[in-house]
Amino acid sequence: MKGMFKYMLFCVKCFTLWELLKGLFITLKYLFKPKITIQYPEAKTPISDRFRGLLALRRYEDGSERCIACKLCEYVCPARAIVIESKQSEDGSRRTTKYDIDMFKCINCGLCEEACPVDAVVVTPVQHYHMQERGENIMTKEKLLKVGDMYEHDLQKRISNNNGDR
Amino acid sequence: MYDILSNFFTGDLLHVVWIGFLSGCIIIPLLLSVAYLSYAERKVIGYIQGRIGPNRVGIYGLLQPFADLFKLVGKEIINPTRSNTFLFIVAPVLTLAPAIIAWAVIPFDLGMALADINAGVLFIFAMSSFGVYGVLIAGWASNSKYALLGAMRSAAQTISYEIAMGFSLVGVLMASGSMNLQKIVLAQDGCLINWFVWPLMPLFLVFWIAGIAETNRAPFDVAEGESEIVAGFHVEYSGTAFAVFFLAEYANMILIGVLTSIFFLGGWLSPFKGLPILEDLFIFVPGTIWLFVKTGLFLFVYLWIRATFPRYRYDQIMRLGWKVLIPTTLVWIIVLGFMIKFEISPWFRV
Amino acid sequence: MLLNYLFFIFASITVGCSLMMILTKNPVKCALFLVVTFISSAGVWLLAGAEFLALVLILVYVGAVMTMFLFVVMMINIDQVESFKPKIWRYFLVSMTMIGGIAYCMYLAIKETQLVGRTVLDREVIDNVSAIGMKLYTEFGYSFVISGILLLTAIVASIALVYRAPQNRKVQNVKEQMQTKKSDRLKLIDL
Repeated sequence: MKGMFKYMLFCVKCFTLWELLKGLFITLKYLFKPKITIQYPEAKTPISDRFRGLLALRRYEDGSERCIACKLCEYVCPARAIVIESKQSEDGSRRTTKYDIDMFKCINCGLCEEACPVDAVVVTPVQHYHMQERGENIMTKEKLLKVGDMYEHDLQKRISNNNGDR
Repeated sequence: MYDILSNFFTGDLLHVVWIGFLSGCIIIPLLLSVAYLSYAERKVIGYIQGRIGPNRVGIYGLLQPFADLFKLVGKEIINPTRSNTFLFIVAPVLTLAPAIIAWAVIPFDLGMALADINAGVLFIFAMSSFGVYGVLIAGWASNSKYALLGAMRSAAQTISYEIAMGFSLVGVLMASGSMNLQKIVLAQDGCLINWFVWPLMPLFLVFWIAGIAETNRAPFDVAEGESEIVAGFHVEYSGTAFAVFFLAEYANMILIGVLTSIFFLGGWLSPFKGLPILEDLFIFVPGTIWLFVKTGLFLFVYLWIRATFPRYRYDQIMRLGWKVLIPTTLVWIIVLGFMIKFEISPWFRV
Repeated sequence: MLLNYLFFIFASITVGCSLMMILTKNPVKCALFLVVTFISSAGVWLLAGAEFLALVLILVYVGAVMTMFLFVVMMINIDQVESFKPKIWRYFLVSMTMIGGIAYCMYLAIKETQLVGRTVLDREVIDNVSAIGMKLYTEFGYSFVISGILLLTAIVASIALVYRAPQNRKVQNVKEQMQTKKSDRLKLIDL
């Protein structure tokens, strides 16, 4: 008897297209909900303070390079994207003559930043960059320092926001 | 306008030119509304999915259909190797032509039909059944297995659903006692209670479902199921030829929308006719606008359904067509016979 | 005047396409030529004032029968029918006899009727569809019912020929599938 009633209920549901209408009303509800699209060039998605984008080399406030050519970043890099050559400079300190990061190899893991004892190599929040010609994928020391100079203000804010966590 | 034309032409030629002018009056707005239906589709589906749809070309993206059109026209039509060139080019035209020809008998208002023929329903039905040839020929002439499979599916689906559609129209014919579209609308004269939706509710649903299946729209779009057969019968088409297929699909959608409103929702009749206050309130709205409003409603439901339901499997489509829709119509035709016999008011008076 | 020209256009298309249908070697093209033949003969019927018959011709033959034909022809993918040339004379006599027979029958049928200037029905009073309906359900009622039964027999027979019982193959029980609830398939347990 109960089975019979259940079957009749099922038939009624079938012929009134109940489940279909239920589905339709769910989508109708979404028609009036606020949209989540972010219109890209005008608006961008917020970026976390820990976002790992393009790499950069920083300087001290007096303008000298932080990097001491310890090659810890070269050693820790899992993709072997970093190539460093060093030489003793005139004041007797060890300085890099070549600091290349291949952005095709780089996997943006941020291990180099963690390895760096003097906070020289850092990740920046820059995520939109492109290469137009062959060879531009190699970020040379000059380019990295330039990026660092450009974003120094941002980088300091990020570092203080992160309270030393990376 | 007729007077102006009669200054230049005489006799039979005048008649031909006049008909050409009138069909231009139908076709140009039709193609425009096809363009904006595609825009509406992208907007509505976008909104349902929490997106905002096209909004870059022109204000609110209103020029988007034209941007698409110019892009398609500028593209090259690629003719596949070992395909039948003549049939390959003719196929898109064969899909578009019936979709437009069928508009000849649509009454936009009392007496506002290009051809007021007595077998109007049959004419529309013949044209819609003719539309499958474009798809079949496109699939065969492309010399591609995906296209052929898509054409097969489309043909099988169209044949199956045409039967259900025909039977539901039999109900409409029984209720109105005529095959003339104007007489069908006039048989529903009165306020919205008098429309055929109410006594013919199951037939209305069957007609609508079969209409969606006939136009190969979601959830019955296995003919172009992109997950299995890329794009079905129009994989090999690009540029203008593809644009014509696109136009045909949307023109067919609008046609089905108009037909449903004529057969079941009283065509150009105002829903408030004969109601005390509302009739005076809406008396300024011309009948054509009512027809367009009803059609627009159905077109929205088309898009709404597309945004809601997942695609049917091929065997499910066949089962629905043959084992559910056709028996439903058969049963309801018998019920309808009794309703007419016992003159159930307000629909079937003497 | 215009209608006369239209008649000749339709008639020549009909004859030309039916000839092409016989002479073309590709079966798909044959079927398409037959479709064009049907459409143009529907045009001829329209000119004769038989709009119901013309539209039904398109609806039934073009819309359903020929679609099925094309469907099958495309599916079995016969590339070319082998040339008829060596055999054509063998069948010549038979076909000529048949053509003669049909022509004689047609002559007998139309000998008595006056072809020109004969109105089939008064179009003001009764339209084509109703006229056919009247005839079909009164005068030819029995033959109508009998042909209906014949068609029904054909449907039943075709199903009986191809039906395989649902043993030895996997079929889904749709009713059962539809009646399952999510609680039948999924059980939430506390961990």
